[in-house]
Amino acid sequence: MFGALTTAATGMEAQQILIDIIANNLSNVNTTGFKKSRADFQDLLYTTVRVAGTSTSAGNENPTGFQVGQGTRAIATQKIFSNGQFKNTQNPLDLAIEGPGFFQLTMPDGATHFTRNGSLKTDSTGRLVDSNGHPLDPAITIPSDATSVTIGEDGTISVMQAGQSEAQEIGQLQLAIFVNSAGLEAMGSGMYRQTTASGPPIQVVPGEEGAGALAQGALETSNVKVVEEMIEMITGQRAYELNSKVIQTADKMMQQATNLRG
Amino acid sequence: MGSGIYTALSGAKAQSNHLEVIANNLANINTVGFRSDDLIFSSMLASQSGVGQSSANLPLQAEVMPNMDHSSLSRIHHYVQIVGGKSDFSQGRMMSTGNKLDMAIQGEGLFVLQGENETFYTRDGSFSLNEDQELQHSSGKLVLDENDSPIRLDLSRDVHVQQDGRIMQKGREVARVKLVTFEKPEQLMKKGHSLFYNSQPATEPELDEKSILMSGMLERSNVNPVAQMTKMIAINRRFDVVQQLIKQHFKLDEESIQRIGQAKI
Repeated sequence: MFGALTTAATGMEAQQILIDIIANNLSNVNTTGFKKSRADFQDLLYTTVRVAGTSTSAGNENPTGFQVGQGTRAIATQKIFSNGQFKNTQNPLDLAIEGPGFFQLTMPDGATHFTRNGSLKTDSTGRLVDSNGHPLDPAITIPSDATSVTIGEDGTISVMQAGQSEAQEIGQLQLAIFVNSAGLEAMGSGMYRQTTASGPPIQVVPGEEGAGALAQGALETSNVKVVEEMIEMITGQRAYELNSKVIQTADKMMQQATNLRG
Repeated sequence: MGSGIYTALSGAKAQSNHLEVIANNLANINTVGFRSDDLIFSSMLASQSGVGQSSANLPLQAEVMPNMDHSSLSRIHHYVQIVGGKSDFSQGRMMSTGNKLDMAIQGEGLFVLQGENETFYTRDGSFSLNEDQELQHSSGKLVLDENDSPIRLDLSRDVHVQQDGRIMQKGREVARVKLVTFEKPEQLMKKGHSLFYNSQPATEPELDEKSILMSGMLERSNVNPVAQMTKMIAINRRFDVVQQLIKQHFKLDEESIQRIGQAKI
């Protein structure tokens, strides 16, 4: 009975973690390029009272074993990289990736981070940067006299410069894809870092080799679906309640046992 | 004291064991690939003395009542015995994750994992890659292919997992995920971390060709909260009854002692 108490407590703890993750998902429901997380749970070790197949007496075997589990624990959180919705912004430097792939950003320390947030800007020198000022990799500089910027599905960037009649190609954006994107480590601010689990990035041209094509003038919204999260939240809350009922039942049974000595 | 009290006690013990199993099921209601457990009870006969049944045939009797003098049993008593546990291997619901290395089995198959010295089986297909680009379970154990070797992926190429378990990279088959079934799934014992092990290594599992492997999906726990809740209420009621029985026994003993004390010889 004491076992049931602690087991149910691990269940309640797990549901708390689940609710924490849902809270973070829901609070980022309007964050551009945000990818929702999911909690991974596993059962704890089992106490084996009897192993199946052991003999009970001469010639007889237990057909089934008897094990009592000790509860659950959260082992990992996983990002789910499904696509979000696209919203039109008409801003020429807003890019959405229609499928797998990440933009690559160069950090001040030289490292490369990856993001799905394609809300690009230009800095004082005309370089394409993200909202936090990290330059895009490969670096692309928009000439100061450009009157319009066109970014193709394959990432080619062409500009119209003042006094010219033809657009000029100034570079091509590249995307990174990962075999196991779930292995990426979230760094906050919509950025991810490669790990041994994710493998190294594969540089691809947008729209080729499984990478998504680029859509200019659009942004990818968060892939959090409010209804789904609400359902998860209800399940989490109910599971919490169920586990608390186990504690109540165990408590009641102990009380009854105590009352035997009336 | 009447030995009926021990019958009631064996019932109380069984109910509290049952509650522990229910507690574990409910705690794992969100565990990927978790299989719900239940206990099987049977009534055990502690037979009358003198019939020649040795106590070796009554393994649990001694366990339930270690201090009991078997020779004093002159009548037949029934005791509750836990025959064993049973995992429910019915299909759980699917949830989509969009991650290609997440795999769910539709059917009776189990993934085969390589442990240190033994083989493990699981329904939890939340896989990732280790430092050597080998497919691993979240416990760190490697997923095996049909040739019982680890599955190594080329990280510079895109991965597709087909419904028959074949892993394709650039149109070429890299490996085929091994799925097995057991003729008697009850020989599988739980190890924690969503793992099962074969308690009777003499009986080898068979290759499973019927199950469908779904990439980008995970199988949820198959714990049914309503069924667990109902069982829990029943456990509570039975415990209540058993407790009343024990109290009745005490009362009977008390009365008989009083009456015997008052009797005039």
